[in-house]
Amino acid sequence: MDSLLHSLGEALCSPVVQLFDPGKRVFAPFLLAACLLGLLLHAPMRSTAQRLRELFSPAIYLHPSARLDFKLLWVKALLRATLLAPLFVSALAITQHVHLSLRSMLGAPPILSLSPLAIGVLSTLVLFLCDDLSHFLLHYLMHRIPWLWALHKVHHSAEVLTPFSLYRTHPLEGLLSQLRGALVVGSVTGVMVYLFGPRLYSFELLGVDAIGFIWSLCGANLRHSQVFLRYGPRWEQALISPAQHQLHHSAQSEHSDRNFGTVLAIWDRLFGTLLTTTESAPPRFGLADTTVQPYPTVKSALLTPLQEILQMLTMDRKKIAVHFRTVLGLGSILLLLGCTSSKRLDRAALLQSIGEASLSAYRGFEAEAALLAKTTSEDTQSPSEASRKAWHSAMAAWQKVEQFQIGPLASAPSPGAQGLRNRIYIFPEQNRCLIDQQLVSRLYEGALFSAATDESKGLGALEYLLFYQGTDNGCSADTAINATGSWAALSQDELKVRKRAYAKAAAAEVLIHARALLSAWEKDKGNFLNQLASAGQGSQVFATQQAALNAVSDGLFYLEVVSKDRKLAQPLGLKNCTKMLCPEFVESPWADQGKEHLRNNLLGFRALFVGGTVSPDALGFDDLLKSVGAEEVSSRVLAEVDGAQAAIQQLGDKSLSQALQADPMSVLRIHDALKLVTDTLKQDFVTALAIQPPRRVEGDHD
Amino acid sequence: MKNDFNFNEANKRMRPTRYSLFLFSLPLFACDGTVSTQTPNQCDLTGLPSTYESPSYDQNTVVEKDLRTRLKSLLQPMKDAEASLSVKPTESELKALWNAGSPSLRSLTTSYFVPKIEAMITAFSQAAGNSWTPTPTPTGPGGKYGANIYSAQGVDLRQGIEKGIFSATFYNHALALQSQPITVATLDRLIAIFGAHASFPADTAAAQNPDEFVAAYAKRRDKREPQNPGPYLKIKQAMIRAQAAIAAGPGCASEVDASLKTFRNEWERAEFQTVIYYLNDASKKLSAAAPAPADQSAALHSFGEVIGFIHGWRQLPTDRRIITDTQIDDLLKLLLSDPAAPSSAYKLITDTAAELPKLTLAIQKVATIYGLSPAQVEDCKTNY
Repeated sequence: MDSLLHSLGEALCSPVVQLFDPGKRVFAPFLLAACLLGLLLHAPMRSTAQRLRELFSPAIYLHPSARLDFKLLWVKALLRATLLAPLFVSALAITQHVHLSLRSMLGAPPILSLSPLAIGVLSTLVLFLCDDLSHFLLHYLMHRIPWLWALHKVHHSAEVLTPFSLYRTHPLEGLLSQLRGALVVGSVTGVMVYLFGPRLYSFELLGVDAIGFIWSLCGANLRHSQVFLRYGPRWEQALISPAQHQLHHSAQSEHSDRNFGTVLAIWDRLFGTLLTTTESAPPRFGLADTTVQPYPTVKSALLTPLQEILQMLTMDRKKIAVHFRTVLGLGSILLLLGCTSSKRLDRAALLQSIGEASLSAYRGFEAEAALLAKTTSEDTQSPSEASRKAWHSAMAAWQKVEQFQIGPLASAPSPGAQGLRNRIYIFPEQNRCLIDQQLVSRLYEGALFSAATDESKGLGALEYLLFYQGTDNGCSADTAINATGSWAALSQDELKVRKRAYAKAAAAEVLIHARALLSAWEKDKGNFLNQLASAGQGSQVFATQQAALNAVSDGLFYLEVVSKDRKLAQPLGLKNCTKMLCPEFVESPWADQGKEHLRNNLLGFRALFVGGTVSPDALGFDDLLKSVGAEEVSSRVLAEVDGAQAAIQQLGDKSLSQALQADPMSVLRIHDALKLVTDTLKQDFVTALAIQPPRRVEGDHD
Repeated sequence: MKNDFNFNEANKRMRPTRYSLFLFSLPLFACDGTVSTQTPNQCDLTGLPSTYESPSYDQNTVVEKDLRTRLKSLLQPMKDAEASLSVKPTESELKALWNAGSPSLRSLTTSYFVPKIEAMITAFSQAAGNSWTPTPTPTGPGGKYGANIYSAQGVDLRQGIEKGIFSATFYNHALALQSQPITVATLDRLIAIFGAHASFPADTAAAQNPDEFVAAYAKRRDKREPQNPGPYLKIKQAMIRAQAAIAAGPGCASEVDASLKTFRNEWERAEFQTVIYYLNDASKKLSAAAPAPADQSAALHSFGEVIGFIHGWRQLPTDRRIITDTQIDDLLKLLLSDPAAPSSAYKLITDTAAELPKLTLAIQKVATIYGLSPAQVEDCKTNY
């Protein structure tokens, strides 16, 4: 109900708002430019006062025909907001479909070494030409197909022309025009995105296409006016002048069905419908076959065309049915493309859902961290098996949380970051030598331990302290603990006691940070959940919803940067390794849990992607992709995640370290399976969520 | 134009409608304005511009721009010496640059910090041309370690001079300017000594009028989000407000004072937020497993920035700053730089494990002094 009232409110304001929208023909500066041109060029022999009176004569603007234009403007806005809204197709959806279809049919795009300037010029020109041609074709069909003409006649029934006559159209004509615009802009942009990817741009002015902007500024509004502005016979072979369009509106039968073009005249030349102007303006505007206004009221303008179409259907069923089926078929395809995607996803609800999924993951970890702290505090002499089990559980929960590096968990410059992730687990930057030095200095016993660097604490340090049974240390011979013999002086039992005490202090700290994380998110405390959900609507952290979505989607890329590159590519010798293999870089070498961590990373990734595991209805990136017409990308990502899990499964009982030594190809297969996911993320996912087709200045019948 | 339209006849027909429309349209225009209820004693600064405009900025800031140039002149031979061991600026050369001009850098520096700078100049001239590595028992004159020149105790001397001058000289000069009647020209001079330009470019690499000195660091500590301004934006907004308040007359004197207080506080906050940045930077470099000597030198350099930034505030007028001398001394002692004793900065390299936690502790202390939230502290750890 609220959203309907909101839509109605917006609809009522929209005719006024258009005056401030550069995408509209009646944008105030465009109207002003037309006025100035009109004053300069209209009847130059007369005085300025006389010209002003004629241009702004109430006789024109308050003529019953013009008044109907204004009334239709509001009525159509209301109809659009209520009945017709679901039928509008988004150009974005078509862009996605075209781009993704081209990718799946043709594979990777050809490498075109065009300069950014050339790409800008090319895309701007191609889009303009296609848009102008499609305007012409639709306009041509509206005059040729009887039931389309029944709709378009409303526009041609205008007896006086004002810039607002542009909006004197039947709502169904408006719908067809919108479908045309979405199809053309969406398809052309889809092809351009396929060819040029993120390098694509087009020239814009005030956020709309530059050619349309300039054309509108050069007096496009004079097309629907009393100012008979001619370009002369030569230029009118190339460009449609306002005067030529006024001939198109003439009630004289010899002017009928001429000059369908919007900007370029070449289309009319090709179809043999071009008519250049002479000195004299048409004596009368309106319909050629009648002097009686067939649409004196809003009701008649809306219903009469529909009655005429019904009559046609009953009279000449066969012929009309052919036309009707053609248009219906085209419309259905467009609606199929658009309807699934025109349901705009409530991004605030999406962010709320992702926030709740994050909080749920954090709570899961906090419970395990509490158990770990309790178990380690109960150890008496050396780290116990119970503590090691608790570490396994805590780490499993943590590896799922790793993907949720949003706000407080993340590091600067991520919005709202508090760097808590590194306090809990700083992989891959643990420093074993630092831990060993602190075992000697017993830093863990004092208050200063809270200020010890993250590299010597957290789950990584706990793993070393709980699982490593050796008596050597990770420092070089010249480090003080070795040079002075202070390490060697520790007995084996003393070392165990110290490791137990250190583990107890480290686990207590992990719990403190886990609780700080929850506190930062929970409603009655830091309430970061609200900052995320209210992005762009009062949030102190996220100025826009897009900024919040970017921050959240950054979390997904953990799979690329850490899981794939650091946990697999480096041990496999593919990155930052000078040997054939670098097994020393496998994660969790003391507990030998590298495989389990990867599995949990993928579970965490899936949870973030679909908006959590608690409710199947929770909103996630899968729903967002669906809403922009890229459901296929969503399905592909999830299938590839399953593929990566299957590759891990194939290691069988072997740990990641064992598999790396015995069968590196099996580990490479996991890497490659993860690469499929991350390639889709980097290409199709990013493109699908960032694509914005260029905004066109409206033309006739838009 | 020819058509069957009779303008005169239609005009007459429409006249009543036209007058009604005119009457209806009046409220549309009337609703636009607000009725002013301001009395002469009230200060109304609504509708502030978004930019600071000063046509006479260049004329007003001759002294401050000279001071900026003189600091660059003093630092340049030191940078040259750090680039090449064969360059050895003498003590007298450096002191001549320190004393050059009127007013000189020296003449505007707090009496506490003048001997500190001069001692560092002497130490620099002795260390230049030598190589040096930190040892548990410092000996010799110090020298180049990695890319910088350190005293025998591990003090980055150029950083101690430059960052100390930011507060002990430049901020001190800004306070002197604020003790005189405040005019629009005063604001220009404050902006210049801060290191910015009237255009507030928020750009340290701009071809013209880039941000320098404290302004460059304030810019790095500021995400420049309108809903969440940092020190750079706050200072810009304060100067715009002060300018409007001066133009509005004596009724807005308190607004001028408030704006200048913001200017001072944000200058100080920018420097101490930068202290957090460099403390974290040093900590990260030294926490890495087996750091290379180049990383250790870079960490000691960052540490030198920290000490310079903190030390320059000591003994500035107490009512014109947030941090107290007690807090400064506490920080300096924690960070191996007791003002009353020789520095032991070298321990950061020779006894890393024991000293590292002190850097985190210092971050916590600075955050407490300036009331920084965990998110604000985290923001200080990156450059914007």
